Amino acid sequence: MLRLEGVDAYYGLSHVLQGMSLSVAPGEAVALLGRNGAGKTTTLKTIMAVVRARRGRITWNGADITGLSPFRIVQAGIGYVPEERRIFPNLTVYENLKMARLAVDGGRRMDAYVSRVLELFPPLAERLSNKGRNLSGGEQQMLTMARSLGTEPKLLLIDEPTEGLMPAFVDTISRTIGEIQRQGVAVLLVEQNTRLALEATQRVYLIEKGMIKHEARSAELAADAETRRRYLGV
Amino acid sequence: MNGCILILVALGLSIVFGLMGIINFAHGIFYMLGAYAGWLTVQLTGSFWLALAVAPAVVGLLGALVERGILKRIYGTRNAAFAGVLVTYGLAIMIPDLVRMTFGRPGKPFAMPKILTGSLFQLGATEVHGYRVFILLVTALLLPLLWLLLNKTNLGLVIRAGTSDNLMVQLLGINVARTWTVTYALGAALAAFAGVITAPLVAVAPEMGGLVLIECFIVTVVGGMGSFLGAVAGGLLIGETLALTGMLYDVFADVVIYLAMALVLLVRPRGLFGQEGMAEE
Amino acid sequence: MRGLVLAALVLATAPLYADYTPFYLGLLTEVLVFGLFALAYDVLLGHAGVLSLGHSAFVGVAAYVTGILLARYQAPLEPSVLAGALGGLLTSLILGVFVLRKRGVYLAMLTLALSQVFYYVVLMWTPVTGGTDGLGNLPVLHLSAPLGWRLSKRPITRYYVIATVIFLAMLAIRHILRSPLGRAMRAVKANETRAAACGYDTRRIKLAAFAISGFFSGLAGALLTVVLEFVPIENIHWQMSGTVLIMALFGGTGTLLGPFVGAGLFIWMRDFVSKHLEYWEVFVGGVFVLIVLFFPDGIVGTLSRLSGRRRAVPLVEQSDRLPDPERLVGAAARGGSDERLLESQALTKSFGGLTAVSHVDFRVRRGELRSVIGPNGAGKTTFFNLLTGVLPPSGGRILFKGRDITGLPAHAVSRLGIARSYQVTNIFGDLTVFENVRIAAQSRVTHYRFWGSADRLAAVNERAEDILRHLGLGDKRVVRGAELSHGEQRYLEIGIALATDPDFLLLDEPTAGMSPDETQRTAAFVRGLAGRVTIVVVEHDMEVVMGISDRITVLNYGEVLAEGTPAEIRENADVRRVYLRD
Repeated sequence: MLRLEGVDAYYGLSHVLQGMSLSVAPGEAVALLGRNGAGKTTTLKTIMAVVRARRGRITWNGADITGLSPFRIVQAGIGYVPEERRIFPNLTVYENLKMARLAVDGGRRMDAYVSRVLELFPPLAERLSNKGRNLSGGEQQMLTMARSLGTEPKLLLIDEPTEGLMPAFVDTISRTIGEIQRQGVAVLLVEQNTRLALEATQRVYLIEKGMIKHEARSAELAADAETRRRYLGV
Repeated sequence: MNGCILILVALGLSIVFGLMGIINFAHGIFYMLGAYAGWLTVQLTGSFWLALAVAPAVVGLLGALVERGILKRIYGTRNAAFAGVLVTYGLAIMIPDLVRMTFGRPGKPFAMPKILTGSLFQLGATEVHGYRVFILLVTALLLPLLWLLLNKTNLGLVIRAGTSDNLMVQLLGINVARTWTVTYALGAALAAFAGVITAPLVAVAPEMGGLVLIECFIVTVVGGMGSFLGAVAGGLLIGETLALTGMLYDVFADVVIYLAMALVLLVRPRGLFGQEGMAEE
Repeated sequence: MRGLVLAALVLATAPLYADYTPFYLGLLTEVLVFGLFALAYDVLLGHAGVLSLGHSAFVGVAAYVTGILLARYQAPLEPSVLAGALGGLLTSLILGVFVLRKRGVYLAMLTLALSQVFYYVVLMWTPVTGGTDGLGNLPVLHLSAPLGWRLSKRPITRYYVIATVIFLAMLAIRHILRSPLGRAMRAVKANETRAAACGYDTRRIKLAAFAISGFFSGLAGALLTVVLEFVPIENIHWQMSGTVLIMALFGGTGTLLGPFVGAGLFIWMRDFVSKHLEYWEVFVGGVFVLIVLFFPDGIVGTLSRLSGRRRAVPLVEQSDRLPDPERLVGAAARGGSDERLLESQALTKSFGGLTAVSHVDFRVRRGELRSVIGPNGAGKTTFFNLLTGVLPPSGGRILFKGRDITGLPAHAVSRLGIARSYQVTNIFGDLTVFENVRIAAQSRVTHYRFWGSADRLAAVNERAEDILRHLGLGDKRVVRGAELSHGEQRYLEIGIALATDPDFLLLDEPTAGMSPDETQRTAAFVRGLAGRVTIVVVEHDMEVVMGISDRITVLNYGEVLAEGTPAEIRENADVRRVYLRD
């Protein structure tokens, strides 16, 4: 469904992605693991065209999306949960959610959407009219995931959802990814929390210096401490 | 310059700045064009009220054309902010002469509609003129409408979201380019409306835009860039200062507002209601 | 030099082509005066990178000062002109102090608004200035003894006198632009934050640029009064600010000739195009917009680019020679190794509700090589920003050589001997490779000296040369920074930091985006520096970290998780857990 072939990307002149190739099949949950600076976040940003791909191709359901603007890629069915969450601080939770629906149906069926959101993330119920800047880190993470889901993606790119959050939150994320998959949405997950990443996904790629160095089934890697240490450890 | 007029003009400038980060030096031009559009409408149809509707519409459309045709070329380039200033400044030089070409150099008199002429009532020692009450009423009506637009409509939602994080708005599938065009046109329309409303009070002249632009800058510095409340508070403050000191010693009034601006810059650089770090770059 | 001689020749013979007619001579004189104004304006715009829309105040105040001295006080000519120039200087300083609190377009807006104060003063003060009628009744103008030449109604004499003054002024400006201050201004334009990180007080530098611009704009204003023998109120109207901007952009910013070409073009349009086109300002505005959109370098700039005046440097293969760090570090860095060079105590930084750095105690001994590692979001870059004065801490203290440096701004921290390199390359892209390093080295010698060529600072040049050679960038000296390859830029990144002769070096991800080869070279280079400079490195490449560090600090959630030798950290269970989150 999603395929990257030999993608190169730069931050200025810094050659961050070097021949990145990977794929995600419909309904699959795939993890991207690697140390800091390896290029995990850049990979997601390149798919979303936030960072420009200099070489290589990105195809989505067979169509080449390499040169498109970010908003077209979202409209094509790829959603993005950014690492910094990027909640609109001056908008309420409800308004943040509504933003996601504007490109889908102009915000006409908010009630149905909001109740789906609250099923996934009950703690948001009391915060609907709070401004984004007043939410805790965990609430912001729930909001940004709910919001990106609102764009009705077929594939959701999730960037480090547990970063900076309390350990208890990890289970919430795990559950959420499972639920997303049950609804037929594929997931590409970047995570530093290896345990979570391997539990919640079926396949995993290991990235180092901007390219894929190793690919495995998540269950296999979970049992292979040696490989994990080589690519992720100290 | 009337406080209410300043509020309207400053709001237009502020909204454009908040969303697009552009300090629109052509803003005064839209004000002037609004006055002329209004004058032309009155010449053709004789109706002041029609002019009030036509002027903002026509100038708003013009604003959209400017944004689409010219400004769009600078987005994303190196030094885009500077290029924006220079291009809009260039337009501010060109267009008054185009207006002179079309309408001639001298100002045009703009008759006040009969209903509104004459003083309405006495307030202490001063006579309260009907037209000024009209301006006050119109502004009082328009401000809540604008507020509703910004806070209760989808367009307003996108503008407010885009003011804090433009990229994220795109990452939710929304085509921001369209919103920018509409926002710029809205700013132009507001300025044009202020222009046509002011027309009966001042001469409709090609030079109108310059002075109002500078006063608008002062209002936004004092009130805070990119803030609704800032534009309102700033407009009132500056407008009333001008009116009060104007009664004492005419030209002195202008200097007073510059001193006010200097004071704000020294003591609270972001303005009364501006956000921290706004317009730093 | 050639160009100057040519210019002098042209100036000397120009009246010939003008057939000595008073009209054309007058026009020529006016072009020169406006050319000086545009050149003075461009000192601020093209060289210091500050857009001002308030120059009408500088030229206007000067025009009136000179005019008043001549008309009301019958003062002699030369002091009146000088007083005018000083008037421009003073006005620019006043304006500069206010507007430099902001930057960019906001600053431009402020200059426009504030310049109006002066307009209103002139407008109000009718008895002295003549208000809208302008200031007239100037006496017959002549030079003072011993020359005593008459200028009024003597277009030829007046032309030569003014042309000489302007030529000398142009030489003076040229001289200042080549001075250490001039170079500092260019660095501020090329990359303001890096200039500050090298030790330059960028606000003061910009104020100095304002002053230079104001003085020479004032001189132009004073000369304008001499030419017109009258001071129209238009000279201080904000439209004058637009005129000079147009002239500068037409001709091309950053050049010496450009402003004069631009002035000539504008005045031609004003006087000749206007004969055929009544509304010539549409024409001017239109050309202006076109130039901004399509020819931002202006006429002279575009021509010189097209003619390839920028020397094309053949692409040289990057040298394989390992850079040798031996001579790079100055004597200041050597010293006893037990001294606590840098220390932070309970250092904390919060942004709203988020605490990025929390009560970090950090001690580095002189000569040590410390690595700082940690998972994403651990606060490493924020920590660096705190140490270098880029961000003020929310709590805690920072001590350098035992002295409290908490809250000092970036340029002050740099002057004390702390230098840093950046994770995202932050070089002076528009400056040559040599100048990148030279300007950093210059910061230890002089900032504000505006006389004498910067190229004559022998010690500074030597140091820059040394650094470049040892970084393997010697053959790229004249290449623009922005045109280097990524790896070369990363080396230059470090070179700039080293050029300031620091005692303490902070390197933020020096191997970011490098190939395995480049990474190895860099690691060896940094290791070679150790012992002579105290170094703290943020790195993600574990091989590098383990290979070069004396000690390692691990940050997590903004707090210090562990600290120790590489071996200790490798065995540390907490660190393992945090990294692997198994």
